[in-house]
Amino acid sequence: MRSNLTTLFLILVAGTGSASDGVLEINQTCAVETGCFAGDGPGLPVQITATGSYQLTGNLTQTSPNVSVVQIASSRVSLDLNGFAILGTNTFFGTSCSAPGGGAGIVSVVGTHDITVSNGTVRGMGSTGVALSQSWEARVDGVIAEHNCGDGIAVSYVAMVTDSSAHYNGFVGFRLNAASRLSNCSALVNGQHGIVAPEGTVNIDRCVSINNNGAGMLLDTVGVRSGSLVRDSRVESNGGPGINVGNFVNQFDNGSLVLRTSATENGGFGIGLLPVGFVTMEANVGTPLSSNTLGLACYVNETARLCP
Amino acid sequence: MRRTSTWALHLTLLALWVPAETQAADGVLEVNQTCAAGAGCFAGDSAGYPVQIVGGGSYRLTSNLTAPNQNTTLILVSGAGVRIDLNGFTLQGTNVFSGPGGSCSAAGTGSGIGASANDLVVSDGSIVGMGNHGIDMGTGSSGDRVERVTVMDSCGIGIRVPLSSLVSRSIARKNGSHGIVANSGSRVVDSITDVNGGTGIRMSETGDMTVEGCVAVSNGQYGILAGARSLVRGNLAATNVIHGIGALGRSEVIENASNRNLDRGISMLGSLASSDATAMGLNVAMLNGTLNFSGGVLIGCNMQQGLVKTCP
Repeated sequence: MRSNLTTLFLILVAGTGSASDGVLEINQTCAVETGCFAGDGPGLPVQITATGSYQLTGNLTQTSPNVSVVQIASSRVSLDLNGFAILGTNTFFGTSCSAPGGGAGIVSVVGTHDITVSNGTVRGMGSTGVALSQSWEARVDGVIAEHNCGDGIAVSYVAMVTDSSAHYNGFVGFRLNAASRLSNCSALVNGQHGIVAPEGTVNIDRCVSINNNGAGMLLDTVGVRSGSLVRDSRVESNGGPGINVGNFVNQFDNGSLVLRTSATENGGFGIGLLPVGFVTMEANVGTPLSSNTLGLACYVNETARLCP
Repeated sequence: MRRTSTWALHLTLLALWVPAETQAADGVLEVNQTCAAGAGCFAGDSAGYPVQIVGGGSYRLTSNLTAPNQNTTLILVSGAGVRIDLNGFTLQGTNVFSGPGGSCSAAGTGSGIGASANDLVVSDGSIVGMGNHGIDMGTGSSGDRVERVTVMDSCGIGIRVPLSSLVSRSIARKNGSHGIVANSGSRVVDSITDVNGGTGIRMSETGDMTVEGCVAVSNGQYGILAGARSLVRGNLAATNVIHGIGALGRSEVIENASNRNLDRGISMLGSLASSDATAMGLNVAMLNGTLNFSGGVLIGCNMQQGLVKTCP
């Protein structure tokens, strides 16, 4: 009898990879050895195939730059990194990757929707850190993506990226698509641009984009022309323009607006031909705004104050 | 004696592991599909849906909840001071909305969360496919919050909050009616509405509200429609079927971009507009179907296409 009761108790306590609150757990041991839950076999990537809530309970380490660490193949998945990190071996300090490959930290498959990744770090992947560019309605909150050889964080349409950082990634820091929101972010020393949204229609505020090899922000470049809004941000010491929107000919008709933003010491012009207000542009290469034509409020352009 | 103590030990351990109610160690009451569809999750909740929350406190989902049909409400709140942490899980219904001008596959009377309760907080999860509304907190209570929630494919409104409430960092997409509806004194911030059948963000006509830092795109009516005495600031509205941004009198509409909407970009509306002016400034409105700007008193420059700038 005692033996039976003990067995029953152990079964109840051990469970599988499920925390007491129903959240399914992921850690390196189950990821590599047994699979962490139904639908996930041994070895990386951890495969999430069912809607639900998932949580890291330890760091995950990429076994090869060509192997992704977590693959999400279902819609409506919440992955809480829980303060832990997904770690690979790549480093990028502005020129080349030490261990490039095809493996991402977190990657979603085509056609999935409504995926949330939060609260942790993705560092050193052979490819992109957080690759949700195949999934609409994604959220990335409180994530640091650094030293990945691809993009830091990439999302698709109707995405919300908040309180996140993308540093020292081989390509772009943040890659967005239309109808999206990016706030409280930093993009530093990425191999290409800091923030990219080719179709525009993004609302960006409280972001800094500094020391990237390309532009600080490159928005609305494919001619959709629904405009973007940038407020309360800073673009500094980027190799290309601070903020560039659309093609140079029609960009002032793009519908974009930049307010309360400083653009300094960029390798191209500070802010492209856009309506601006309360901005500062100094020590950039090129000064496309030589009159107050586009000023909706006063702004500073190379020590000159220009007011409407 | 030894046998008795062993029994007692095991029973104690089992009792600790399987409590009578689904209450986590931190005191939060748990809600999951098993208890919800079964015997009830806690005191006050009878068998079957909806899960009935009648007392203040903290509640947490520990699984997805699935509605058996479009007429079933999944969670019904009547007690004040309730916090529901969706915990990354989903309230799942059966409806699919085809988009503005389209139809619902399974219209009904069931909402994801129905409530008429003060100080209700819902956070961190998704609500998809409800026959009626996604979150319906009614209009009569106050002080509610919706944070980091995605609501899609409801046949009715995506998110409706009562007086003096807050909707933040939420997404309302492809709902049959409006995306987000808020009542007087409320704030809707840092949220996205897209391809809803009605207006993206619709504020009560009685006004006194704030819409800030939002994206409203391709909705079937307005992108943002604000009541009187509202602040509409730092929003992006594009390709909506009527106006990008509409506001009633005594409002302030500043720092917005409103482009390529089928009717007007930014428009002052209603009987208050003529006698109680709405202030506008630092907005951009381009390539809209009829007018880029309509009405209002300028407190700063605005710009439309062709470098046409209008200043006070």
